[in-house]
Amino acid sequence: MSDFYEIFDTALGQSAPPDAQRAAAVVDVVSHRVRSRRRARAATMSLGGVLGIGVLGLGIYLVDPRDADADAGPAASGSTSHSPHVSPSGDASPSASARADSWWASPQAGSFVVATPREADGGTRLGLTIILPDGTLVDAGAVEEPYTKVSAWTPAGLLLTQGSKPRQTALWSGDTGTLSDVTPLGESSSVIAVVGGHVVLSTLPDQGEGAQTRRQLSVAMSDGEVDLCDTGDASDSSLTLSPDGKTLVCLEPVDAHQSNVIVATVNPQIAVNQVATFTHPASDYTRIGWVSDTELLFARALAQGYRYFTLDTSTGTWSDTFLPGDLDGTLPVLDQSTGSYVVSSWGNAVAYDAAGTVLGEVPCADNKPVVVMAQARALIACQTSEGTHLAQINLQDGTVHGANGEAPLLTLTVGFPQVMSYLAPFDPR
Amino acid sequence: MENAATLERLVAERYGRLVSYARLLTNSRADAEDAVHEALISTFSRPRRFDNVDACEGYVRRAIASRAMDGHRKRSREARALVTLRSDARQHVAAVETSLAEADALHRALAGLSPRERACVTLRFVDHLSVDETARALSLATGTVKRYVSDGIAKLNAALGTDQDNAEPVAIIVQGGRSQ
Repeated sequence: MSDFYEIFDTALGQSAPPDAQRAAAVVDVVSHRVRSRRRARAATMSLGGVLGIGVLGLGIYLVDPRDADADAGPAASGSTSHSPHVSPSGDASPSASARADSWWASPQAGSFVVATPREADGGTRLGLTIILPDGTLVDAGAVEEPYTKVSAWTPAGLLLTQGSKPRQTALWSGDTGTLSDVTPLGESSSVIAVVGGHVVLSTLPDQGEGAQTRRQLSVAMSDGEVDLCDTGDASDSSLTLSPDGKTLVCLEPVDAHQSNVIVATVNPQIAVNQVATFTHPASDYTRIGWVSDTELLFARALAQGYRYFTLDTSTGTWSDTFLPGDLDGTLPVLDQSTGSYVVSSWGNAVAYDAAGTVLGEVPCADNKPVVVMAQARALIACQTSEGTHLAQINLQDGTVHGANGEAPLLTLTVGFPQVMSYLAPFDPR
Repeated sequence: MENAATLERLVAERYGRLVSYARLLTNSRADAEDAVHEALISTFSRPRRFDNVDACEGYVRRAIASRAMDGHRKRSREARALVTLRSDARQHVAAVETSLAEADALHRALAGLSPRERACVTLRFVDHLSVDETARALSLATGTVKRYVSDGIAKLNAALGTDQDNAEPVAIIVQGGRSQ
């Protein structure tokens, strides 16, 4: 067998040059998209000038003129009204099977939404099931294709996206059983959140010198976009929306070694601030999830285990805890409220309390289960030859539902489910 | 070179190679073409000057690598399963020619690597980049690149039955200015 250089060279030389017609088509498409992108960029720059976006020497961004510190940077001026770019009832005319349920109006903390393909009426639909904290199942309806993924669970509803290109996004409001279009501005953008009526876009922008991997986060306005931050290598895991839907956090690389924590809040104007700097690259941090409306949990692998950071995104202060662990294994999923955690391995998921004592176990023969945490409850998804079984471990008392002789909470036979937890707002009422 | 002319020449002369390059990183012909198109769009959306088509191709390759690595993270389990099925299906129709079989085996072996491992190994063996250069190109820490390259080589060796070592290519400068 040849060495790697020869093997790769062989693979590289496989494709024949395009014929003239194909080459012309590629040049046409690329040229057209280049012109569109230049026009969009010009519009964005113009909009930024009107809104008075200040970029300060310390890396602090102020979008809201009312928050601007006169001593801290360029004076902000101009319009303060931000028109949301949500376009309900767009051209795509999405449809869904309406299933109004009063539960949607007041979702409960610690609930899970499970999305999985369903065969119905001769076609495939995206079926949505809610698992309440006590294990009760709520059929939340099914959405017709092409919507195949749940991107986020926001107070406004579930954000659904197509799996194909160009990606269409829609907001599924379960309480009214309606599906509204939320269409990104450009083909290379995808909607990742709806914050206070504003659509937040994630875009693969032009590559800068050196062609670094980056993803740009921006808020769509009526006639353009306002940039929030550029993410680095860990783009997917570095963008997150708080449970109350008012705070958006991303990690922006400073260099190859450090990353800034950028926080965008909507109240109702948009303010963007750098609240902290992580001393390692963004890619070193795994986002575990929100533990309150303002506190976000990260983990970083160390030589002997994992360090978990609870970052208060409103102040930039943080606390940390260490869990010993095997670096070859899966990151333990920590429940910050109890200090308990769940470790998924081939064959089972085991819950431990803060002292390392076993609380409960869900077996998963010949597989490594997926663990999703929501307020001291862990949902365990175990894939078997019969389908995916779901079970739940209560980390406060160690009780297990849906395993160890009990029938699974739910068995899904088509595809592997997407599971998302819902953390209710910490309402002072 | 003027941009429009550069684009036309790049597509006419190098499009096939760029798609093959992207194919190593994405393990899907369709995703590879998407990655090439997006990289071309980003490259030519900014006023840039390339001295020759080689320099332009190098720039587009970096953009493809970073995009492919990023895009793969978004794939669902279903998508990954589909890739596996396609790979399995290809086994039955693999061409008998050695070069095609080798390339096919490589694509299947690459499917077993994580996107980051695939990107690091591709930049190392196709672009002949050093660890430091790979780290800069992909915005990764040097130690991270070393780990991905080492793990990627081990997986490829296991899948391909090769015995590739992990030594970096080194240019040896001989006194007197000759290199070998």
